[in-house]
Amino acid sequence: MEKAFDIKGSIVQAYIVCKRQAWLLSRNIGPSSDNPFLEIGKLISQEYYKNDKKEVYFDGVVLDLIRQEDEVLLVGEIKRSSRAKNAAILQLKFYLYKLFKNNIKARGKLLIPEEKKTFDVELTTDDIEEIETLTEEIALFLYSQLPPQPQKIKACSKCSYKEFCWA
Amino acid sequence: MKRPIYIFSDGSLRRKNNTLYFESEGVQKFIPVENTSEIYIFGEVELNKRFLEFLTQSEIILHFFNRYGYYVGSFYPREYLNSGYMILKQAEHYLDPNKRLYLAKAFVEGAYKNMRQILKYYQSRGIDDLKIYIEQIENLFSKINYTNDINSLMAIEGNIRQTYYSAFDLIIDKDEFKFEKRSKRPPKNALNTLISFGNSMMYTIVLSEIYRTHLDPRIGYLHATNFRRFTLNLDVAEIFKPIIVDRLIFSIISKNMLKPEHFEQDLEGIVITDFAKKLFIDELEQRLSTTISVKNIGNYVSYRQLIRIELYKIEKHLMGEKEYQPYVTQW
Repeated sequence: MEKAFDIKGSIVQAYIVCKRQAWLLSRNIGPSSDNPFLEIGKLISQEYYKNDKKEVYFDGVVLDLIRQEDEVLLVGEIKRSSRAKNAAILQLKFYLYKLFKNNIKARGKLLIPEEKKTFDVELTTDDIEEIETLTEEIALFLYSQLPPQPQKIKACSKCSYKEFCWA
Repeated sequence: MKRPIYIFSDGSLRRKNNTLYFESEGVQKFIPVENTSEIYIFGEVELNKRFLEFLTQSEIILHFFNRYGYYVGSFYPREYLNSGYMILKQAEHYLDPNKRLYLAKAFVEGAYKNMRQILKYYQSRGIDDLKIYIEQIENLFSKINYTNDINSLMAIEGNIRQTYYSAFDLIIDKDEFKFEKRSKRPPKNALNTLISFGNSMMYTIVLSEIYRTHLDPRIGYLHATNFRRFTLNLDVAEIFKPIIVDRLIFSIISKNMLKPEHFEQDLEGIVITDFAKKLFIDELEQRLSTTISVKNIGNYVSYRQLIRIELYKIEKHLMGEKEYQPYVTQW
């Protein structure tokens, strides 16, 4: 068997929304950069929270934002909208799990500045189990030689892979 | 919507206040970097490394043309969409002779079918004599099934294109824009000059689109890779030259938008004037933003997007996901 693929937060997030996207990301087939929604997303993470540390590399993943709060680290994940909230929360829990494995106490906050919403995210013992099962499942899935066929789902309409998938 | 910038005047290009800045004979102009997809330089322009760094960071490709309108080269910034997986797939399809032949044939097939559509279109508009040319290219193309090597494939493609070009006099039917025969470096008459200019533009347009995908422009399949020059853009451009460049030339000439005085005799042959370049590019931009409907994707796909989609189809072929079928226009 080939070397296992690195599982990044974006892959976990994509796996929940669209398995095909997760497969493409694992091969570094990134989205087309001229998708307007992607550009908006990029601008949002640039323009908000200018006082915080952003895009922090840690153990193979990139944390959107970190903030030191008395003894506990706050990890923020910035999203354009709450459309795929559950997947985003899981992505954040995956980061918290990584930090937990490195003995760093942290809590998470999902940030949706354009909707003026935030959601607090904590890692529970159940979550740890869930994430371990999930990452094993993802690792196995990524071994397949071909990505799953595209399927029309709700996320397709604003997806930056749209032209690629349906070409 | 990002758009290309064309610079015809002489001057200097710089980075200023985090955006692009062009100064020419005292006239100063800011060009918003967010709205710029690529830059074409036809004039004598000075620029520095800081500017090139800024372009790299902004993912903007730069194309240079000399004063005769010949393509000089491109500043192709560091790849920002990098997939080792895709590069390996691209190389695999180059190194395996059968896989390479499949793609090379697909490009010839796409080019042939689009040339044939052009001739058929003008035949349907009353130029009956085109029938012989259509039959001739059909005969030439039928040989492709017995072709097992790239060189004979290229020879067939060359013969088809030659026959197709020789039908241009029937389509254009103007003494001042006679085709005679294909002449390059230098072109011997106005029509050949226009074709050369249009084709160079097409190569750079496809190159710009390749830059926005995971493909490496140095690995082509029909045009031999020599690991230095861009070749994949030449392959893909073959498919689009007839429907974008040639159609445009016919329309510009038939509407009398270009006249012989828009071309100049130079020591090197016939060269295109700035007026003609600008006019051609205006029309080309309009054509590229014209939308058509494409199966599975939607009703408003521009010709420029169509080129990108063609590249995605190639990526999916390389991945082994879906066999590549070239785009053929449906008029």
